[in-house]
Amino acid sequence: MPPSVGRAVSAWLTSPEKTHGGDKLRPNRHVATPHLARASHEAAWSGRAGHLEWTLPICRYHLPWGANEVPKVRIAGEAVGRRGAVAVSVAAVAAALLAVHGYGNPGSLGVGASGALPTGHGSPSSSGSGGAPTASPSASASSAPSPSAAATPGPLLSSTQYAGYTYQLYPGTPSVTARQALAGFSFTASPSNGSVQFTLNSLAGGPPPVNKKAYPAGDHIYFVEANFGDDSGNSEYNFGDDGVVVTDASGHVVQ
Amino acid sequence: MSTAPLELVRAWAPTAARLSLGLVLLWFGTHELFQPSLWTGYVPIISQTSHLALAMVLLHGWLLCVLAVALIFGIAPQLAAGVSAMLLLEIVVSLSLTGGVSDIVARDLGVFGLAVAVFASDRQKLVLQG
Repeated sequence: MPPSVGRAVSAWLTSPEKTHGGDKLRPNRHVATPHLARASHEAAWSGRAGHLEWTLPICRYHLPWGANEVPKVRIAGEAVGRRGAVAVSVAAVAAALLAVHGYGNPGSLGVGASGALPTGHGSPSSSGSGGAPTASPSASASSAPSPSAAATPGPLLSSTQYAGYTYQLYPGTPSVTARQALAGFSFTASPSNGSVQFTLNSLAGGPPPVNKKAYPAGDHIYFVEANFGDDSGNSEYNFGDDGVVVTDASGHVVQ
Repeated sequence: MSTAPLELVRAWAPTAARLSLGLVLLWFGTHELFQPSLWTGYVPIISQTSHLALAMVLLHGWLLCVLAVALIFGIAPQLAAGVSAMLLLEIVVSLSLTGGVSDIVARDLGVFGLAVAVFASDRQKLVLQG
């Protein structure tokens, strides 16, 4: 054996062990030469102890025949033992099942339908999770304005899950917080003849005009924003948790 | 002055960073799987109302969950952190290009730095043995 190969074998066999990566994988001392471990992309017999080992650019599989050894996989130089492989596999399968469910029900887990906001007529769609309500502005879109005076009042807004996530737009001037909640949207509220023409538009990237409707002038119009974390500047990255809630003068939800 | 507290921090900082990164990814991953429709707005180029955007979010959430479990249990943590860093870099670049530098970009840049730090660390504790 040439001296250079001998030095390489010696250095490889005495290389320090990693301190992480599950079980500490020792260099396979049964590999005859470093050529097999470093360069071969084919299976190679060690010959003496019945080990099968082959390598890929980033993976090395070490499959012992002995019952007292556990299979080990090296990925990018890190060892993954049996328990690690099982843990990752279980996580992958569980996440895949959640993904399949999520595809069929993109917003139904969590609070779900039980969190829907009951109103006199119609309601923002609600499919929140984790206690935060979600509302789809498009659900309340209407091209034919109609006053809500005839509607049967719903529950008090303060008694719904939306209570902590609503910001008044009308009447009055929106607060600083309301303007922050409106990131990604703009609105107009034009009172005339005992009613107010309300229009909510999304800025670039959002859905088309999301709310255009006339309400009695005494109604209160609120914007719903469940999570400020998806707003940045005047950009809205998540239109799924925004919406509009309208109450009558006594605070009962009418839309 | 005793250096014991500093040594303690040095000994456990890589593990704390790894667990923190894993918990962050787990939160986002599970949320993307539970409520994918709330995340489609972040998918670049593709319409957020399309099924493809939904599938992309679910795939992203699945990957985040797997990486989170690997990081939390210390299974190939450097590889998991490296992949996480690439994912976060893609997010930072994508958000920067579509919405400019914002608070969200700055926040994700910090998490990207955390992933790089975990990737560079080889002194981890609390790892799954065997």
